[in-house]
Amino acid sequence: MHALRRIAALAFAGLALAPVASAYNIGTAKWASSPKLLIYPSDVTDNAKEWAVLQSVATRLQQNSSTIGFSVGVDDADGVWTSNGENEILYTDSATWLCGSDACCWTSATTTQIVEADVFFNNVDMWETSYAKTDSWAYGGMKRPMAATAMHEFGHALGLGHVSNLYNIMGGDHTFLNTNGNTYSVRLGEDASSGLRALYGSTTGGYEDVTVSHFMYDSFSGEYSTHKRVPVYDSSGGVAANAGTALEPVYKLTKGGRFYFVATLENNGAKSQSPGLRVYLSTDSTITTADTLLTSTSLTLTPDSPYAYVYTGTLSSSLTSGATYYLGVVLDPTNAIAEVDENNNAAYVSAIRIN
Amino acid sequence: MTLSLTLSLLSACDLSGAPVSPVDSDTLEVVDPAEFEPAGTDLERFDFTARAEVADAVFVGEVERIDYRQSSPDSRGGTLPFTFVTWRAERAWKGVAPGQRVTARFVGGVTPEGYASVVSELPLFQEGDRDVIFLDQNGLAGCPLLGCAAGRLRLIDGRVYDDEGGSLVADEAGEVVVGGWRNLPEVNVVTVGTVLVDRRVDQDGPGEGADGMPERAFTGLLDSRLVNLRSAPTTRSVNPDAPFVVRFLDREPSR
Repeated sequence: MHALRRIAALAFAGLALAPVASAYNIGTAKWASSPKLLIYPSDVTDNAKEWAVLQSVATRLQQNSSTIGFSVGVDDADGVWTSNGENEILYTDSATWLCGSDACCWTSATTTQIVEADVFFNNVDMWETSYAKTDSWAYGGMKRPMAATAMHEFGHALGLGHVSNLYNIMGGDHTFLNTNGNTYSVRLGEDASSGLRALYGSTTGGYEDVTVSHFMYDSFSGEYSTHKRVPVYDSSGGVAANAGTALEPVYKLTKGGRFYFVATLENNGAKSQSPGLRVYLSTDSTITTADTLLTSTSLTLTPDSPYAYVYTGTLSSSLTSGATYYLGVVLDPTNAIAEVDENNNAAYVSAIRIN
Repeated sequence: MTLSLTLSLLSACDLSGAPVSPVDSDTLEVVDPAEFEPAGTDLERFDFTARAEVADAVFVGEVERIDYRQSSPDSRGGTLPFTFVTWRAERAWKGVAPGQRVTARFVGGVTPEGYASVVSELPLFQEGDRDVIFLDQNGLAGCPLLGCAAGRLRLIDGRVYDDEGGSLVADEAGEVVVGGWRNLPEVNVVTVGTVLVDRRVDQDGPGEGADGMPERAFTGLLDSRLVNLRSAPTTRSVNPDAPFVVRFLDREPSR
């Protein structure tokens, strides 16, 4: 139950209260140089879609706000072992290598240095590789998002441990997504980025990335944080009636009524940012700056732990009863911040149905 | 998609894409979700009865011994590091008798080169640790605990914590939940072979520093709930000095 940083009435007062530290879990061991993990050769073809995702995740992770980098390549065919001096990736059905999970990371280290990391993924056909929202566990689909789990395991490979008390890729990774429309994207996230900076120091090069998500911290299961869809509240102050599901809610709101919702904002860079923020109403779940603007502001996001952003507004009485709309947020709408990823700045919060 | 309707807020907004001022009737703030979420309603409650029914053994024990071993070379000469943890059971509810020694085998340990081999899902043990153990598939599973790290609770200074230092407390209904966290050296600093594994866990915020419930209260709760369980000492213990081969090493490592 880590407190998200609180900034009361930020849009008007422009004040930030003392930041709360992040929740990362790291050791004293770290890499002397950026590791490259090599996938077992047959997995390049046997698991081609998964391999494509791993490469994109590695590229994404290489771009982080610490001094450590990360890359992947193709292994030789001399076999995969956990202590052979090679950093490797393998799709396997061995419960031992998978340590009873869908994926697992083994690291070999001294007290101060990580010398080897090996990552194992289940080779059952269970991975969502197209970034399609509806196929993903997080939205009731049947598959686990490969990119999110890969980012989690690669985080282990770089020295990050599990986190249970903050919205975090090192917790429940399959609900650590940035989703707009029907596709999602994956990033390391603010707390894990903070952990890497604590371990390796901040990059001297430019690295900026602000994101918005419709997931937030919920609770935990064992060592893992659990996340839920952000709620929308009606004028009673309670969570609005949900005509959808917990995974894809459709909140029922009344025309002319007050409502408020929450969104999760993150600054994955090392420097404070003051992005613009706009709230939109849309007829579909792809939120863009062409949608109907409800309000606009700017806020300061200092790095280390995610923010919960609360919007309070009043629904127009001219909305169509029975119609479905989408509330959404766009961060840095004018692209004033030069980011490594400009495609995770918009998210739909939730569908709403008008009473 | 742009809506072709008029919103009550629309007159104050600029749809051109240029920065605009906040609408007076709106408020924008960043807050702790705990302020609008009833505290604790989503906390996962421990169902010890269900866990105990599934587990092969449930006991309180002190770690008397840690042994690091390599699996015997398979047909290709590969070995894996394992850790053998031996507890002496102090109290037992299932599968073990008080006073009995139980040894369990975990993947990870010390490599032939002397490195600590740490597996992301698995707990780390130290001689002298006192644990509440829910043992499951010992000698078969890579992590022979029910739910792996979730199958181990820590008894530290007479209080109960989970494997990460989460403080077990009773909620308003008397059910056990993790109600906070403590940065405990017993949890964060472990020696694996000769390698010091020293974690830095940043767990600031609400619940930080909360003590776990007293051990006596916790074991009393287990006494009341883990009744009618099979109590015969039937749990399989493994011998760290008996050679073993990890069978999966004999198969091709990919489909």
